[in-house]
Amino acid sequence: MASSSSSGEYADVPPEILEFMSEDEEEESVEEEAFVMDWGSVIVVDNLPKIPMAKYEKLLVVLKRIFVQTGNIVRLEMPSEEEKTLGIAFVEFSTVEEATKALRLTDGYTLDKSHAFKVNAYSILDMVSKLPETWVAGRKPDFQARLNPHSWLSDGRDQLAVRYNNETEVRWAERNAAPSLEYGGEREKQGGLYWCEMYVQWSPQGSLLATFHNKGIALWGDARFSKQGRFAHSGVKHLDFSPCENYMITTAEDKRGCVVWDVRLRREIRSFDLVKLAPHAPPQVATPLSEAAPSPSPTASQQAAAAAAAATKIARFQWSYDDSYCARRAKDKSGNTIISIYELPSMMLLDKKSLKADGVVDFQWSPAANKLAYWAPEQGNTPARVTIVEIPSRRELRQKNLVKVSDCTLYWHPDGQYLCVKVLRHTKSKKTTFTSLELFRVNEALVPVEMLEMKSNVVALAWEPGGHRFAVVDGERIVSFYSMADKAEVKLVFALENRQCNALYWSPMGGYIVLAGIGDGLEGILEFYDVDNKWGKQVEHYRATQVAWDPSGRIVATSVVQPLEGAFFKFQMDNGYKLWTFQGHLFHDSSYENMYQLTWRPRPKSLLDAAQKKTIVKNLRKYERKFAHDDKMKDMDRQRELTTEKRAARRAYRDLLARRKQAYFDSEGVRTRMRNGIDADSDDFYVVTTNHKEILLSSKDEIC
Amino acid sequence: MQAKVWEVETGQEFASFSHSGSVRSCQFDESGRRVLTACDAFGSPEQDRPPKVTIWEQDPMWGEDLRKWRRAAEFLLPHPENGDVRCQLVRWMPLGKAILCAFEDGDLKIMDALTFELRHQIHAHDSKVSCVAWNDPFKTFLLTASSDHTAKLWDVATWDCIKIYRSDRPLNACCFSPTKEHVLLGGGQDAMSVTTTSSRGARFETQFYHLIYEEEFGRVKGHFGPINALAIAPDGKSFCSGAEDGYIRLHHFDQDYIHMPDPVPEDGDNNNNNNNE
Repeated sequence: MASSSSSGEYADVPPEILEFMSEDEEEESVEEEAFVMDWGSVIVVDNLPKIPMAKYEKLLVVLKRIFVQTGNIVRLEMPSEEEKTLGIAFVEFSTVEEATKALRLTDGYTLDKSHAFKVNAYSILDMVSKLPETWVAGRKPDFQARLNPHSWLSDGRDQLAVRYNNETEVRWAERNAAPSLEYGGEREKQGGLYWCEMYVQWSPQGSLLATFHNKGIALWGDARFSKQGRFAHSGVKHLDFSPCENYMITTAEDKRGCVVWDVRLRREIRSFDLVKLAPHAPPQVATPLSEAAPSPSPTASQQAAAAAAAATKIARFQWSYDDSYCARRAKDKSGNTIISIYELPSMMLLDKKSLKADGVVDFQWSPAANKLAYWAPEQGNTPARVTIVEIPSRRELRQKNLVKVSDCTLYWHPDGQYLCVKVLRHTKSKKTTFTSLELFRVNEALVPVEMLEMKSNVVALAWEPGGHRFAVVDGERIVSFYSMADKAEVKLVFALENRQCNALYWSPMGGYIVLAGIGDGLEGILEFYDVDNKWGKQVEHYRATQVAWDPSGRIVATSVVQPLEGAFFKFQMDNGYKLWTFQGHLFHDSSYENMYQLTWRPRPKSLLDAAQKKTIVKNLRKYERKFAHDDKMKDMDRQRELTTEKRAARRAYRDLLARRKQAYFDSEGVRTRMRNGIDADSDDFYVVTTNHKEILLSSKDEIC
Repeated sequence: MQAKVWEVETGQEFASFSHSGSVRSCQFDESGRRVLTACDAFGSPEQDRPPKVTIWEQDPMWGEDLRKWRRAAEFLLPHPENGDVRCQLVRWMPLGKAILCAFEDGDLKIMDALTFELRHQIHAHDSKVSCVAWNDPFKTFLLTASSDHTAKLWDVATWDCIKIYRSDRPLNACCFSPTKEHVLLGGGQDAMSVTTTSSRGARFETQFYHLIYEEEFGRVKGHFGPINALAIAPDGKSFCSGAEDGYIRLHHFDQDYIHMPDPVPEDGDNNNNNNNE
């Protein structure tokens, strides 16, 4: 019974967390409280040995010895029937606190092999006894209309969330204007609270905003940012939403470890211990993104999450694209690393066995199909290998053997049609390393693989969303663009030399890219580059730590943020953000004393298919004219409004000054007296003389 | 631990006022015959040398001899609830009727100049008030600059804060432009922590803000230490800045600045032209 009712489920949760549980549970606890007034200090101990009365005294002594450790026993009774005890005892303590303590400490106490205490508060017994014998159907709660969770999409603009000082704000970003405030936690402020004390995170499709708190996660959504649910998990550090927002996983370094939640039912599905696996290789070239900062594209965030997981040495769960599976690396009984794949919504192991992927170091789900790619290093005589597996059939679509491998990194194309594996190889002596790229055409028959030798190490690599190209920065500061469009072979499109760049950010719409030199030791040089027309603009955001495209590819936000904990002194100065158009025109600049986060609200995938998109591009002229006109009208309105505001402010100031000046003129007499009868302000008091002085520096006569 | 009066033309010392602690701030009143000084506490509490505000007066008031001064009044600095908070500066209020004391914790206190009773107390800033300036000669508005990265404009008649200028650095100096509706602010990262960042990150620039719209519209760089003092010439054609780096920089405005109109056309102008372009 206990495990099926919701109160039993949370019985071991401390009261301060109970308070944090979702609202559904609240009613019950109120009822309990009313009863506790009378019988709070009494507990019921069940599952005692049933003994004849002869041994009664002996057991009594044993029990007293146990319960006296938790408090002062007022009474201890063991009811009996027909010269035999019933196997239960009532213990009354002098205070409620002692009873609660006993409840907590002695529940599950093993007296001997077959007798483990089952301890409940007396109120529970009372409640059970009061239950009617026949089951009566509960009244279905009335339907409550909720606000549209997608109303924000009907606005043409994009939203961003900013965390600075004690503030959390969601703002509308718009070309050529300061972002306007949508919601800044005003309701919470009225209650004397902060909306968020730590980080915020958008769900992958943008319908929910998660706020991190010490006690767990709260979700917010709809047009008013009202609360959508609370999920108690104290000390939560990471949150992984499933791509379709049905589930989420919270991770904290406590005994609950990872908890998988059903977002809509606000219910825990299953929890797991944290699995710590030693990373095979040192973490990759550090991504300049701060760990908690979600990146615009799903692949980038997956990579960031993977990098973060490697850094904390915790095997984190990864979601498949359609929410049907989640997987993580684990160890089987013999100590081999495997991939455990769980099926949703049951969260049970798929086919009751893990995926044998001996030695797997890293894996990534395809962003568009239930396929996963993993790599494993050399082991004895077996070469290192990269494998693509189809789930749930577990069919190996392709395996590629590699030798002399130091490390691999997997990069899926956002549409899942290509997989690039960056392979760091070493020579026989292991003294020098070199890099190559293995390119898998996943959607083609037999998955052809090509190899691309790189001249030096690869600093960053990024696929063009919606395109066939990828960009690579190498150690010789060359940014190269390759294309996979030709089915026969990968081709170098062009290269840009001598770029101070360590990170690449493609526009989510493709075509444009930001080449950024950001993070420690780099000055924040940014180049907005139009890859189709080979035209770029260099700008600078001094000491920028983060670059983020809005989901519609119109605005780029660059920011200097500091982490909430850890080595913040490095990033303490110049906190703030700048907004640029996709062509690199700066139109907004905000600075804050402490800024922690800037994140764009993601948009759901476009509902248009490729053909429809093509038609739009074909008729672009028509739309262009309309939107250009709208933009111009908006700019003019804004200008007019601003001017009106400023004019009013100026009038108010000048009127006030004129009024206050009067006091100055009225007090002239006093001032003159103060100055011993001299009116220093009067013009008559001063003699203005103008002196002209001419100095002849040199003179020269010329005869022409 | 002295304040001195000098003759400007000759550099001759006229008078010297002894204090029990180091003198932090001093000012003449509008008559030029009264001086206000403030000194810090000195030594341990047992030595009984608390922070004080003193008014010095020429003796006799309008006498010929400028060497003769007397201590007219003295009172303890009004911050009894927390003796550790130092007074940053003292200023005469208009007509010498009150005394303004600005404190390290961002408080302003206005004391009656005769009774030394507290007339107003304003929590103006969240951190040290480092500089105050008047809109001379009217002294109707007070500008305060603070380490909390803001400068504020106060209506002295009501003590309402009417404008806030937000900067991105601790501010040490502020002044009004005498000819335009502009304010100048200067500051920079604290001298103590300057070495931890590059000179570019520390921002030792003079910032120009519009007095009414609170918008920054220009910066003048050049210093390599935090700016501690700013002054603008009475004709509004040049300004000078002094900084921790040991330099005083004298700048002459170019014609563009001197003839710069207000960004919003004046009411007399034909403003329709502007909106239709």
